[in-house]
Amino acid sequence: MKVLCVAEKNSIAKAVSQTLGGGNCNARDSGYMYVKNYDFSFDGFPFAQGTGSCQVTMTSVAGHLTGIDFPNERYGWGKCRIDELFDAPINEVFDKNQKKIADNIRKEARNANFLMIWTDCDREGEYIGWEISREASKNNSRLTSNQIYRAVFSHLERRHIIDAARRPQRLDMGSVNAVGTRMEIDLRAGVTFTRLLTETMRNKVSANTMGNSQHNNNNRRKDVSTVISYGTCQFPTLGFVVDRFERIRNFIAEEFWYIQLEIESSENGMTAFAWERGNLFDRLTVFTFYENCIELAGNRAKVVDVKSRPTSKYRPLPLTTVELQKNCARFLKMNAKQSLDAAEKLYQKGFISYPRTETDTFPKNMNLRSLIEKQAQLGQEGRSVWANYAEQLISSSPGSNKFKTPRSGSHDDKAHPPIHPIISLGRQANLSRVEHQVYEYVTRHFLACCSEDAKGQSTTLTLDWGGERFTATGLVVLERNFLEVYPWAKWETTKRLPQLEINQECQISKARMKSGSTSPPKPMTESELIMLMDANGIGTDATIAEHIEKIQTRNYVRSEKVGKETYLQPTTLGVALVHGFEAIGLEDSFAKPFQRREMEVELKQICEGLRTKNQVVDDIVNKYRRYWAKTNGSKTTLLQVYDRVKASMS
Amino acid sequence: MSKAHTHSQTHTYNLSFILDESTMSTIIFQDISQVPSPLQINDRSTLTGRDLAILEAFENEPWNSGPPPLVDQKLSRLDRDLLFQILMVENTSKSKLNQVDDIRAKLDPTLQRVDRLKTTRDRVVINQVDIDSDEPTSENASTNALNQSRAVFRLVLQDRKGSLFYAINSSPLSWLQVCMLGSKVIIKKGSIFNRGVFILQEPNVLFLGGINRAWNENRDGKLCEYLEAKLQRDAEDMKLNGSKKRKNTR
Repeated sequence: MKVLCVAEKNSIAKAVSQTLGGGNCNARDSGYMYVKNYDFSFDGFPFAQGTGSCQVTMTSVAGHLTGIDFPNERYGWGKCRIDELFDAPINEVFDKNQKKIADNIRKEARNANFLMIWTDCDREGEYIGWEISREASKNNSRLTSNQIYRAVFSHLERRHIIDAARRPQRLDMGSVNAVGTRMEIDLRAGVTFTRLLTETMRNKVSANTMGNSQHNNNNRRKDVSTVISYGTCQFPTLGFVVDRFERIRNFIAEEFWYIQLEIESSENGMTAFAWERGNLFDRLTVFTFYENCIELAGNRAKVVDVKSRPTSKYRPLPLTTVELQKNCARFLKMNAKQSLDAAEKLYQKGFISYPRTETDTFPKNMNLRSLIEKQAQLGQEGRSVWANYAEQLISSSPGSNKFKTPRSGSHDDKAHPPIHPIISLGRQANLSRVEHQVYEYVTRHFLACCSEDAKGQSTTLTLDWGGERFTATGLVVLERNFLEVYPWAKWETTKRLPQLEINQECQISKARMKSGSTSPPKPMTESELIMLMDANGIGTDATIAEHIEKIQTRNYVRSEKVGKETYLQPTTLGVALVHGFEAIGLEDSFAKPFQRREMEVELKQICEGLRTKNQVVDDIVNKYRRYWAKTNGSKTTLLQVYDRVKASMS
Repeated sequence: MSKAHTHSQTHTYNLSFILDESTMSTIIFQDISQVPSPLQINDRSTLTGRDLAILEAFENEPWNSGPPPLVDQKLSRLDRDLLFQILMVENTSKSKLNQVDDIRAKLDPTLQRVDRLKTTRDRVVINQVDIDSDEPTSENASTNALNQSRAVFRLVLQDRKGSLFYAINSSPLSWLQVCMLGSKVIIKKGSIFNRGVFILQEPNVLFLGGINRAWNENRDGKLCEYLEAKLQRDAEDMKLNGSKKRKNTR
């Protein structure tokens, strides 16, 4: 029996071949430089039981095998009315490389009895799997859906891969249709609005970008100034950044007032007590409270509550893609694309599990101890800095910080476990500095997940002064536990509180009415933007990084380094586009996340079989047709807004 | 006679509300600065205890609005119950900018800013995010709600003579979040008064409800305008004293 296996990337094909072939596999050229064909034999496929060992060829694609586009000779730029594109036929297209890869797949599939798809187990991977199966059956009519299987796997560890080969599943057509729907909507909305926006604003914008091009020296100069692109995720992403920008621009500092008490004790010096009412934005109000307290109680206060209780700082939840990107941005100052790319590489090299996951709870039966053991082992480079910690965690020697089943979050994408390390780094590990950093983060996060919470004792003293309450809180950290391996979380012992008993009267050393003023929010950071996109359903964990990158290359947003922090600031064009759509009355569907969020919901319904692709495409494309007509009728508004924004920002 | 008055002030027809049954609605639903005192009441014995209490608070001698000037009247305690109507309610626990944002989002949800994460419902955008917490709990939202239930409000009150006073609440009073302008309140004997400000505290305050419709028309819009005007003034003040301003003590 001949079996053709196809993975999403060459690195996966290579790793899987090595595992299934038991180290005996031959590599051949495929006709495309970055894809190899690996031949080996394997006898574990259940569908080929009793026929002896199978001859397997494992190859791969390089991401999507096909793209979709309008037929260029009839619908190219300038060759048709733009709004014809809402109904125009759509062709599958192959670029030069895709053609070579498709040729290879057809050739290798010609004599195959079975096809097994090894693309990544997510929605996009399902669609790519479908593209592959269609291509493979073109030259081999025996390959019907009965002969096509799908391997389900989430990392490249040996046992896991053999298991996946032994338990083949089928492609999930719900996911395939959902991706097809998204692609069609993105194409129709993207091309129509990109052409409309570009034709309307090109002259104005390119004249302006020339002037301040030194400003954007990291942007590709070529097409940026002449294409004003629209994307259904890009615009809401831009909207978040512009809203923050406007919030800062319109910020007005406000004065507030508060009361603070200080108690002096011989052992601990001064301790400040904070007013339970916090800050009030009215001077007369605070002054009235302050004067009343002085009149009613002078400088005497009474202890009305002493609370001392054990407290914990929770270890982190198991790691999701969004958390990974957010924390690499915060702790390691990497952008989302860098960290995700590095994680992807680490996965392909077999060091960590599949890095695209929404799941923050480990499966019950997963052997986490054995993963920790691997971290405790002596690598060929010697021990990693956290090896001792890992060893302690699973050893039987006495100590407070022992392996504990990780906390469970509430998300489960049912496809992949949380991101975790698979094997420890050996000498062969040929990693870049960024990959090293991301590996260390993933591993420390994982060990922290499997540790005890940090334990402490917190004490809160509450004073009553003339009917008003004031509190001071102190913390003593007793056991650091997970904090030892997770240096980014801060939890420190504070200054000691004065020794006061309940109902004890004490003398106030200072009672002051103080004032301060509010400060503007900080510009948007990438980690904040990632969380906002995630929370509002813009993009998927896997594509968030691309959208953030896109609005920067499109020159809608630029990043600005201030000290250690990198902020995202909108450009004139970015602000003008958002306000332009507001002025037209379409902010709901463009700069705000509503429309995109609705679409995600509808895509999920396709996955669940509640709606069909056609229904959803019709609905949403018709909406865009209306938005387009409205925008087309309001071109002058867009231009006026651009001028206004430009004047206000210079 | 009544015809001659219809086109002038609404208060003029209060004169017709001198029947006993309507006494309380006269007080609660009218502008008390326009209600004649004492009210002509034929038979006080028919009134309930609560109505009598309201009537008494209404008829008691209003608080001395000066001289000496209100700001010089230091801490004293009320020796009688007093009835007021509420002209204005301001939340002093929330910045004006945040209040303006909230009102705008309420008036038109599509105009809300979307750059922060908050707990979301349907079309409400998640727009406030706590970057330092990986906890899925909405701890922040709940402490926020707790703080708002403990918020301090500054009210402008008016008595039947038309004199104006401030009041602040030192204990949470749930009606403050929802009361209508023109609603009536009794501040009871024993309450504190200091330099023009009454202190409202359970159980020394009795909320009676009531409304003045005209004052509540487009109330959110008017409040928003008022807050914006105040902010504008703040901004100009800040510009003027900018150099002297203390550093942020927060």
